[in-house]
Amino acid sequence: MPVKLRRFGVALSVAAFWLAVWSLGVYVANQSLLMPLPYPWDVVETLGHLVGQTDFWSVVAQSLWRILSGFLMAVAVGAGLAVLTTRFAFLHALFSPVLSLIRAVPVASFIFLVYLWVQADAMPSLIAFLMVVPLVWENLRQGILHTDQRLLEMARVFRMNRRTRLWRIHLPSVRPYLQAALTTGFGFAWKSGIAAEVICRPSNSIGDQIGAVKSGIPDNETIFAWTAVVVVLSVVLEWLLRRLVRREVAE
Amino acid sequence: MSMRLNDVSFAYDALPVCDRVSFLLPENGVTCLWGPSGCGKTTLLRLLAGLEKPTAGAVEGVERVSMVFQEDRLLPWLTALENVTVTGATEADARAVLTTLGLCEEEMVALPRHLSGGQQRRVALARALAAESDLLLLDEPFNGLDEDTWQNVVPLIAAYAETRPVVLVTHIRPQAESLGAWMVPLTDTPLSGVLTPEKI
Repeated sequence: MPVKLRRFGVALSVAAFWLAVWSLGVYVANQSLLMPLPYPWDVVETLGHLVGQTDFWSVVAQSLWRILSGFLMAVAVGAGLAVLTTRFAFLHALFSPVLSLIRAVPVASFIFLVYLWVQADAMPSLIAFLMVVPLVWENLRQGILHTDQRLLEMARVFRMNRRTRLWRIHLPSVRPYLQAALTTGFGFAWKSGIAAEVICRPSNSIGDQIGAVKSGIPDNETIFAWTAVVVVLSVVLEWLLRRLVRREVAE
Repeated sequence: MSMRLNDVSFAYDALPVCDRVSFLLPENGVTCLWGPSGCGKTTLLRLLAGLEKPTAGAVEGVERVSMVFQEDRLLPWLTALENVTVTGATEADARAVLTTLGLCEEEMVALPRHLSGGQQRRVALARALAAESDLLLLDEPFNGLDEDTWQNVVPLIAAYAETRPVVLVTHIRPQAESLGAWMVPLTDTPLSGVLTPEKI
């Protein structure tokens, strides 16, 4: 049997197993719960309805834009901070407590802390930004610090110019660290951004759709369906990001 | 302007390596720094390469240097050919030197990790020989080279040395002899005084 077909078979069996577990769990739980949990096929049906609605893609696109913009800004700022704090020790001493603080504060605390001063529309971007900055900053800093000094010496001897050093030594050296920061950071940004949306309810957002259900008529199928949208988007975007980063490496 | 170390002193922290050393490099030919381990041979090369700054005195007349280090120091993400052209050498020059050193087309486009230790050494040698320079520094450059490759390297170094100086550090005296090198015996620790090349 070809390897791809075997892998597909394994994936299908795993999916079938967990769907069976889900169904069985719902069957058992619904014996005692007042608000019944949805079976997988109910969620798929609701998802079908959602996708057919006119504003579905607009909601998804706006959530994506909010979170991605925070993520991209965090990558730029984190990279800049990594370069500066590696180059200047006093800047590292100045900023490292902030890094530790941002890392230690729970996402929910951040959301409530800044909710009073920031518009709901900007919250997902800001939260994604705050979650990703320390990750990119620290990973890139480590990458810069671990650049092989012997290669840099070689570059000095052969009088390689700044551009060559940057493209041929510095960037390839930090690339594995950057890859790890981007893929992990994206997951963080996505989850925390959606959490911010659920709490702050910016209009036309996935979080607003989930939150609206929570505060309105109880509708578990819709919550599950929107959660499935979040999961699928996360998987697809992470897969795209990994491919993009890998292609960069190959080039 | 002649290349020289002029009254150079240097120490690693509190450990003095050179104390007012002067050394005038010949305008061409191979000069071999010869002495026991730890006597400061590599430090002299590093001073000439500008990798160490003298605590006193000066290195004069040295501008464009190419060097073979004790380790290969190849960029692991570049092919053998790119490792040679990254210094600014043209692709044609890089191919010519790599071919002379016995690398085939397939090996030229391979990453260093896919080459043997000897092949990686040849790429490091090719990088130094193909780069535009006025001074070639060789720090134990023949480690890991087989006899055939060695036979191919000698004419390349000799050709370079016809017009420019080469400074060689090696523990294998016959290699220095086969290059017709001037020997600079390094006996004092720390090194001091005027270093004078002697013909073998």
